[in-house]
Amino acid sequence: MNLAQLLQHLKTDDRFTRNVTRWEVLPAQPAQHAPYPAELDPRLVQVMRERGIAELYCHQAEAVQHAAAGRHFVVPTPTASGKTLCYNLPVLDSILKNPHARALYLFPTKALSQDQMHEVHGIVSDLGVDIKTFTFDGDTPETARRAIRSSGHIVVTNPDMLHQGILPHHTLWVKLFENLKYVVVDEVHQYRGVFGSHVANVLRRLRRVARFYGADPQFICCSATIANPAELASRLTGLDMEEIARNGAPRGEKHFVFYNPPVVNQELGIRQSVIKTTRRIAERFMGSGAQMIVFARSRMRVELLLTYLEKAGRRVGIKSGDVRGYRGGYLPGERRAIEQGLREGSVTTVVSTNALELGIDIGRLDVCIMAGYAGTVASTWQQAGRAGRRQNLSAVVLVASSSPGDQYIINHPDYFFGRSPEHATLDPDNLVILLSHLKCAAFELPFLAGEEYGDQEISEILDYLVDQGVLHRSGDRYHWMADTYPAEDVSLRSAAPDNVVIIDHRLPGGRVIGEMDLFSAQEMLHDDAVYLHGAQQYHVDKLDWERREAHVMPVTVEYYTDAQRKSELKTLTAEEQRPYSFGELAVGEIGLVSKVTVYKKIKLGTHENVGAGRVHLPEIEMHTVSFWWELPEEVITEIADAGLDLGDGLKGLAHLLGRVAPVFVMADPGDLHATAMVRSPFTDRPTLYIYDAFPGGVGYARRIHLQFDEICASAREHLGACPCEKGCPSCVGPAVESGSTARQAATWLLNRAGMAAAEA
Amino acid sequence: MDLRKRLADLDRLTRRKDQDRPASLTSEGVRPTAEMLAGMGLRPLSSSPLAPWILEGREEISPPADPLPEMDGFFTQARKATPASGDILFLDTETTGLMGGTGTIAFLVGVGWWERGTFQWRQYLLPDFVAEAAMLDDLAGLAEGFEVVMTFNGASFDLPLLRTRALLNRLADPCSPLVSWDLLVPGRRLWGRCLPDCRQQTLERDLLLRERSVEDIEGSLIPQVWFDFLKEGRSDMMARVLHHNQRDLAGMAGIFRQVVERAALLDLEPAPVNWREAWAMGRIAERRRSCVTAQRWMLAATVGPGAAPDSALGEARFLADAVRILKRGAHWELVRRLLVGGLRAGLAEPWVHREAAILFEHRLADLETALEHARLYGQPERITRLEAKLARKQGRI
Repeated sequence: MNLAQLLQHLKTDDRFTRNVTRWEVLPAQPAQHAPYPAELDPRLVQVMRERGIAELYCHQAEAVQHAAAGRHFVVPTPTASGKTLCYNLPVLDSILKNPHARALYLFPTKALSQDQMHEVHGIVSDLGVDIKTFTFDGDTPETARRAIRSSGHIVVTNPDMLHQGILPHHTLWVKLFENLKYVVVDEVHQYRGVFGSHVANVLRRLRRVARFYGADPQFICCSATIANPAELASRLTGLDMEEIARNGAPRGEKHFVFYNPPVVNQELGIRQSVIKTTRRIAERFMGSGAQMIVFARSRMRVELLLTYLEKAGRRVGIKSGDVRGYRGGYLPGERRAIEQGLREGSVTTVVSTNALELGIDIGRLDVCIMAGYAGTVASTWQQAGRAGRRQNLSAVVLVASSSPGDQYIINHPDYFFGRSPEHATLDPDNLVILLSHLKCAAFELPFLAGEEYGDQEISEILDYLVDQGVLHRSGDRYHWMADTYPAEDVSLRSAAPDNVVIIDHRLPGGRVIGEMDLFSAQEMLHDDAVYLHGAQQYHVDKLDWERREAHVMPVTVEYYTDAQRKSELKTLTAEEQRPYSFGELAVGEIGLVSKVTVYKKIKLGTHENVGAGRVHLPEIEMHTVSFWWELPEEVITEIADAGLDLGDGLKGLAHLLGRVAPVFVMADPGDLHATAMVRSPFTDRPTLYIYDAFPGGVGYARRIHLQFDEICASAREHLGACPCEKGCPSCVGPAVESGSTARQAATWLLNRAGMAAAEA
Repeated sequence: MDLRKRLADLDRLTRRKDQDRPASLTSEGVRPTAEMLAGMGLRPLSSSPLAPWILEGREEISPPADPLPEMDGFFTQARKATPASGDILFLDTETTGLMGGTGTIAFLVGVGWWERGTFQWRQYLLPDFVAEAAMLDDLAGLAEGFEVVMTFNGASFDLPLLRTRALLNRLADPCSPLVSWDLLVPGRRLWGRCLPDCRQQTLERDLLLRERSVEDIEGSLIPQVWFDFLKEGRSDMMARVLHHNQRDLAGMAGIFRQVVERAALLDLEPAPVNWREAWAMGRIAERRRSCVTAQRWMLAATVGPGAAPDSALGEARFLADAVRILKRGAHWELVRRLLVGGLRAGLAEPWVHREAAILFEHRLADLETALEHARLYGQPERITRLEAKLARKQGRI
C-alpha cells in the first residue's frame, strides 16, 4: 500500500477517524514568480538561469530589493521555500560588485552551519569567481583557521562560536570586520527565551566590534512563521526590520491530521499514552514504504519510541540500522551519518527531538508524525515541513498528549490553522545575561564612559563591575581586568554556567557519552536514576555533584525513572501592579529554592508505578521574574459558600494556566512554572504565580501579564470542553493530585473572574 | 530592589564556587607611585602615571662571536635574516592572562640586546592602561634598530598579543618589521628528546646550570600582582615580577648562546657526544637538506663512543629517523643491525618488518629472511612475489 492508498484507507477506517479532531488537506499551491530585479549582477542572474531558475519567487525578489536599498529585513518563510536565496543572492551580489565585501552567516547549530555550505558552493563554482566560503566552528582544524580569517568572503558559523571563538579574538578577524557588509541570521524564531536573550547580546557585541572597525553591517533574518517576526528580529538585532510578508513558493498537497488518543479512564480523564499511540500510527506508515520522521518531545521519549519502532520495523522487513534515533547528546560523527542516511534513503525512519526541526539537510521525507505538540505553532509547522519538501503528496500526523497545551491545540484546530497568534519573546536586558555579556564585551574592547550598549544605560553596571574588581576605570575607559576569559564561562544555551558530564565508567578511564545542564541533571541523573541514551539504558551509579560528573553503567531493566521537584517561593519586588476585574495583577522578582526530593520507578510498556526512592541533592537557588494574580479577600468566603475548596481550585488553576500560557508566549512547558498559595506571605491574599524558569527571567512572565485576559479566556474554554469528570492531566491535573473539587473550584474561579470582567 | 543589590545577588547566584574571588578592598584604591619602587632599589627613568615606567640595566653575558654560524634548521625563519649578535632584540612580556584574546594586556614588556660586549636590558612597566599606547610607540622606535626579535614561545603568544594590542590602540605592530626567531623551536629540536619538557626554566637548569631563586614568582600569580599594583598600589610583589622578567631575558640570551654553539658544531666532525643530541643534530641537518652531514651525525648516534645503547633501538622515532637517514647513505649493514636491534628491543611494529623485508630483498639479496619479515607484517603481494622469486631461485639451483 503506498502513501496515497494508505491515507485513503485511514480515512475510511472508523477506529482511526473517530479520534481525529481535524483532517485538513492543504491543497497544492502554485508558485508566485517575479522577474530578477535589475539591481542584481548580470553574472549572477545568468548562473541562476543556467541552474534552472528562470524567475525568482516573489519573496526572493523582494529580499533582493530591500537589500539593495540598504534596509535590514526579515523573511518569515516555511521550510523548503527557497529561503536561502533570500540572503545568498544579496550577499553574492555584493561580493561580485566589491571583492573585499564580507558576510557572516549565523545558524543556531553547528550541524546547520555545516549544511549551508553546499548551495553557496554550487552557485560560486558556477559563477567561476573566487568567492571563498568557509564554515568556522569547533571542528575547524587549527591549520585552516588562518586562511578563513584572512580570506573567507562568507564565514558560516553559529552564535556560540561567534561568542567564544570569534569576538574575543576579533583582532585576528580584521579583514572580516572591516568589510562586513551583511550579517545573515537564519532561524531567528529559535532565538527566543534564554538562548535568544543571549544571542541578542552576542549581536550587540558583534555590532560594537564592527563599529570599532568602521563597519555597520546590514542584517538579513529568516524565520519560521510566527506572529511577530519583525518584532523578534528587531529585539534580537536592536535594529528596525522590514518584514517580507508574502511568500511565493509552491507546495504539494499535504494531509494534516490532528489525532487525539482515546480516553481510557473516563473518571480520571486519562488518555492513551502519546507514545503508545504514536508507535501504533507510525507502525502503519512503516508498512507503506514512506520515509518517515517521528518527533518526540524529550530525549527519553525518543529513546522509548526508537526501541519500539526498531522492533516494529523488523516485523515488516526493515533492518534495525535503518531506523535511527537523533538527538542532542549523540556525537557529531554519528549525527552526520544519520543525516546522510536520510538523504540517501538508507535510513527509512528517524525518531528525533526537535534537533531535526531546523534546516539540516536530510532531504525529502514523506511522513511526519509528532508525538506531542511541538510547543509552538511555529515549531509544529517547521516539523511538518520535514514531510513533502518537494511538490508531492505528504502526510503529517499530530498526536496529542494529555498535557493541557496539547489538548488545547488538538481541540482548537482553528487556532492552529488560522493566523498564528504566537509571540516570540526574549529579553536582552535580563540582568544575569546582560551582566555576563558586558564582561565579554569589556574583554573585547574597553567601554567608554557613557557608551551605549543596546539601548541600555550601563554606567551603573560598569561601576559595579569596577567594585567587583573585574573592570578597571582609567580616565574615561573601563578596561577588563581579570586573568580569566569571560566568554568561556558563559554558555548561550542555558542560564546556568556549567554542565554535568555523563561518563560510562564501565570502560577503563571512562568514556564520556554526553552532557546535561544542572537543572535537568538533578531530575535525570540523580543516584539510581535510569538514563536512556542511544536506546541503551544506563543506571546512574553516582552523581558527583561537586565535580559535575555522573557515573553510569549500561543495564537492562524493565522500568524508567521520573523525578519530582519541590520549590519554595519568595516575592522580592513588585512592579507593574494593575487592578484586574477580579483582584490584582503584577509582575516582579521572586526568589526560589528548589530541590529534587524523590523519584518514581515506572514500568516500561504499562507505565505503572513500581517503586520510588529519595534523592539527596543540594537545593538550587534562583532569582527570576514572575507574573502573579492576587485574588481578592472575599474569594475565600465566596468559594466556601459555594461548597468548594479554595486550595483545590488554586492548585487546579495553576496546573491549567501553567500549561496553557506557554502556548501563547512560545515557551516550552518547562520554561514556565506555575504555583499557587492560599495565602501568599507577600500579598497576604490567595495568589497564583507563573514564573520564568531561568535566573533573571527572559520575558515570558511579562508577556503573560500583557496577555492574561486572552490566556484566561482560553483556559476557561479549554476546561469547559475537557471530557474528564473531576480533573485530569489535560486540564487541572488528576483529582488525586489537585484535590477532588479541583475542577469545579477552578471553573468557579475562572467564571467568577469572567463575570467580574463582564460587569466591569 | 536597587540595581546594585540585584546585581550582587544575581552575580552570586550564577557564579561557580571556584570563581569566587575576594572583593577588592577599595573601589578607588591607591595609585602606584614610582617612589614605591624606589623603596625597593628600583629606579624607573620616568614615573608619570600616563607613560610607561622604564627600567634599565645590564648583565654580564657576553655575546656569541660574530659572524653567527648558519642557523638554518634551528629556527623556522632562519633564512629570512642573517643578523650579527647585536642585531637581535630579545623580548619577553608579562601579561594579564595566558589565554590570549583581546582582553589580555602585556603590562610589562622586557627587551634585551648585546651592546659593547654586555647584555643590556630595558623594561616597560605600565602604571595604568592609558600608558599602553606610549609604550607600544616607544617599543616600535626601539625595534627599528634590530633585525630579529627573539622570544621564547613568542611566535604563538607574545608577538600576536602585542600585534593585537597595537591594533586596539590603532598603532602599527612594533615587532612586525622584525624577523621572529622563537627559541622554543631550537629548544625542542635540540633537547626535546633528552629533557622532561622544553619549558624555558627546564632548559636553563639543564643547559645553563642555573636554578631560579626562591624569590622568583610563579607565572600564574603574575596577573594578580599587576591588578593589585593598579588598584591598591601594592608594589612589593611587583619587584619580583620585574626580577622574573629580567631572569627570563637573561635566560633567553644564555639559551641562545647554547644554540649558537650547537650551530657552530653542526658542520664539524662530530665529537663524542650524547647520542640523543647527535640524533637531534642529524635531524636538523636533514631539515637543511644536508644529507651527508645528517648521516655523519646519525652515525655518531648509532656507532662509536656515546652511541645509543641497544635498548634505545626500541624507541620507534629514533629507529625510524636513523633508518631513514642512513639508508640515504647506503649504510645497509648498519641499517640491518638497527632493524634487527629494534625488533630485539621489542619494537615489533609492522613498519619495522616492512623496512626489513625491503632491505633483505633488494639490498642484501636474502630472500628467505625477506619473506620471513613480509609474512610477519602480512603484505600479500610482497609475500607472493618473494615466494615466486624463491621458487625460481630454487628451480635454478
